[in-house]
Amino acid sequence: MIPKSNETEYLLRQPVIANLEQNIACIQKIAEGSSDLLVNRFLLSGLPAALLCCEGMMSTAMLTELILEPITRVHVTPKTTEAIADYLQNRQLYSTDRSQAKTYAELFRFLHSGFAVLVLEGLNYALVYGVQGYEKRSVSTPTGEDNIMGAKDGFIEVIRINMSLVRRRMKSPQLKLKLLTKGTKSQTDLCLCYMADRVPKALIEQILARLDQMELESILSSGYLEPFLENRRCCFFDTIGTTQRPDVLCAKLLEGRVGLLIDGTPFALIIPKLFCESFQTMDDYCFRPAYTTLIRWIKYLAFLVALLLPALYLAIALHHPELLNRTLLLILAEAEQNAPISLTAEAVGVLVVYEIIREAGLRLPKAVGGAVSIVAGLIIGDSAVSSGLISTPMLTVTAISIIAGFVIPDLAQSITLLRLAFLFAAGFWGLFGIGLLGAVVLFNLCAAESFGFPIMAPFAPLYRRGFRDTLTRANFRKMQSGNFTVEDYYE
Amino acid sequence: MNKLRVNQVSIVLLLNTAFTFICQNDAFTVEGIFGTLLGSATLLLLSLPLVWCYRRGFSFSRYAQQHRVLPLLVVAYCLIRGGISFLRIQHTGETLALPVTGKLMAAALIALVCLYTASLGIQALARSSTLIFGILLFTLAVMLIGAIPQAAPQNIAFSPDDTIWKSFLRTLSVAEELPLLFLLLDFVKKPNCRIALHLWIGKFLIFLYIALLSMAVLGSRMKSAPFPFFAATAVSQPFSTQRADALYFVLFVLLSVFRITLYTVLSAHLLRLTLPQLLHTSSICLVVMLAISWASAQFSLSPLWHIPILLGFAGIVPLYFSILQKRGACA
Repeated sequence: MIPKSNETEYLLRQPVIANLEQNIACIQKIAEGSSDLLVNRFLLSGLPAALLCCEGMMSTAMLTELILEPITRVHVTPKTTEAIADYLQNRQLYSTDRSQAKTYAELFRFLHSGFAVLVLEGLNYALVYGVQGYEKRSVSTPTGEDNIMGAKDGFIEVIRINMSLVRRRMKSPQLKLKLLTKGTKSQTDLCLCYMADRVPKALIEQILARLDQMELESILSSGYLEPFLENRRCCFFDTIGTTQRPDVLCAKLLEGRVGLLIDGTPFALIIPKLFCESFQTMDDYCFRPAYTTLIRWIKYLAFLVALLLPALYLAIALHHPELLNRTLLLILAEAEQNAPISLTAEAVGVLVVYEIIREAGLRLPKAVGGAVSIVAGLIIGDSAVSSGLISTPMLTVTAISIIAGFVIPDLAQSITLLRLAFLFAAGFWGLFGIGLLGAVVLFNLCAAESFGFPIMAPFAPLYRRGFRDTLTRANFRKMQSGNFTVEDYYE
Repeated sequence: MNKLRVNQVSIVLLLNTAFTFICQNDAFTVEGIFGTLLGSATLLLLSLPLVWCYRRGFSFSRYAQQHRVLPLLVVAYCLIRGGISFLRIQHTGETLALPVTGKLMAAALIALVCLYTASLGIQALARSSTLIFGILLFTLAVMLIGAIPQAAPQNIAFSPDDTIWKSFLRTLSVAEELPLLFLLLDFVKKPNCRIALHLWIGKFLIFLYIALLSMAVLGSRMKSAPFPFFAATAVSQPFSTQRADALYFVLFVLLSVFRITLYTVLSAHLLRLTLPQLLHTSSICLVVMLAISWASAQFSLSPLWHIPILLGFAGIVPLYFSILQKRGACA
């Protein structure tokens, strides 16, 4: 006896049956148990036909106006399947998005994507019409990438709308939006976006090859795809970028990168991603170059502070107190003399408690979110210092480090992990430990590549031309010349 | 095979040089500056035959795949230099008071880190050289800012204990950049004389900079300083309220890791070519280097042994390979 799931898989691979009754029976067998399949039988120019749709996925008004009313008035002579099929395909335009489904797998993919499916007696394929009308979120401000001067629209969960947001900004026909379907169960639509005159051909081929190697059942977020697109060698920082902003994606496409939109996710993936891009925002290109250059340098400094400040404090306080000036040394000594736990444990404890509070603030319902601030800030913070469990300098150093990390949210995950690692290294081996771990991180960054593009470019390897948008932000009069693409960094 | 750029090779070797200078325990003198100038000029001339060899299509990697003796000798040279570097790191670390219990622990930690960094390959090493060189330049700039208020130009004077000839020999005895240049040229697509020019001029300029600042700041105190560079930085603080020694400490660690990684990568690469069936070549190289450093600590050898090796590299090796090339053995 064949298991039911295997029978369904078998039926999905079969071509559409020409006999209408058998056809509908097969469709109902595949969809057995699903209550959202709607089957509307009717006579189409005298021949039995049926219109199938998935409840909640299509727009009833669009279906009625575009398909139901016109199709019921069709009269074709002779009343044969071929004549009627020819009439429907070549003389009627029920929707701008039309196709054919030759197998039941294709039929169900269209059905569950919000298409109306027309099956006709004697026709060995189904005609599908796009009348999608499922509920979707409206285009709104991106939640994680706020800007002052930039656009306020962000991607949403519907891939077609995301594609239109990109197309609206880049009207050049060189912008290609290539649709793929991945995920054996979810059949998720992916859209590869690239500028044909800028992108290296080999990059597209490599990305498609990696996507073909995927054997995922479902793709429910961008995180499902990233491991397949990143190199297997572990890197402490991301080599694939994400963005919620169509303007950012367009800017990256112009540099010869590839974007990947995923249906059901309001994030686009950008390949390749360089480390220096984590310090760039869209606002940088709206403000004056001198101010932007200052802000960039502050961000670089903030990154070092976020990563190293607690470790440096620990290293100097524990192992190298002679490096501190006398006043600071006395302040620290007085603050730490009554602390019941070791400095290393204190530092790690403060960071771990912060992570707990941050995670709680993220997961709590908004109604009680305010309570987290009160409990964390006033009760825990104030009480811990007053009781002497934690010293004020340690709390101050950790707070500065955490706030510095907020300046570059793109690197938040890596900073969190490395900050703890540096803390342990500093606690055990002082500046020697920081130097060793710093060497490891440096080499790891320099070795990391994204599809052959070193992520530390233009610093390592050195490309002086790349500095005009990394160390500084050159005037657009200078940046407009040269036609920079990321291919310049390829090794 | 061709993975490095011309400027990357120069910077890799300059960092190697910088490590030698900051861990130097001989005093910096005016004679030393002239000796280094002469030594750098001599080494520039000695490196031209090596560049010429490679420009004619020679490849030491191809040679190593077919022969064993000479490549294994080169591997032995790299392992000995690596072992001596470990010893130098230990001696310098004692002066800096590394917060690590036991000499072996410090060497073991560095070896562990170098095991990882060496596994990333020569390209990662070359790319990281740009960033570490930037840190070096920044550190030297901070040193200058701190040294200016302390500097006394009258301290820059000839020393009665040193001569130009002695410093010339000293320069040659620590010039391991020449054999390293020979090995690194193999990774460059189009080797040219610019590499040698940048290297030796850069070496002299870095030495000149450090020597002048150290002499100006330390004066007669340099004789009693075990490591003049660190003694100079201890005195040259840019801020009155806060010391900057942490920067030099971290620079020392970075340069140490870089140097050991360079020797490990090169020797492991040659071992893999010569003995393809050998596994874990990086680990073997590091263990051997640690053993050599322990052995070197037990007895002392005059550093002048390096000079014949240098002359051999520069003179005999290019001649030998050009003869082989004419015979069509390794083109």
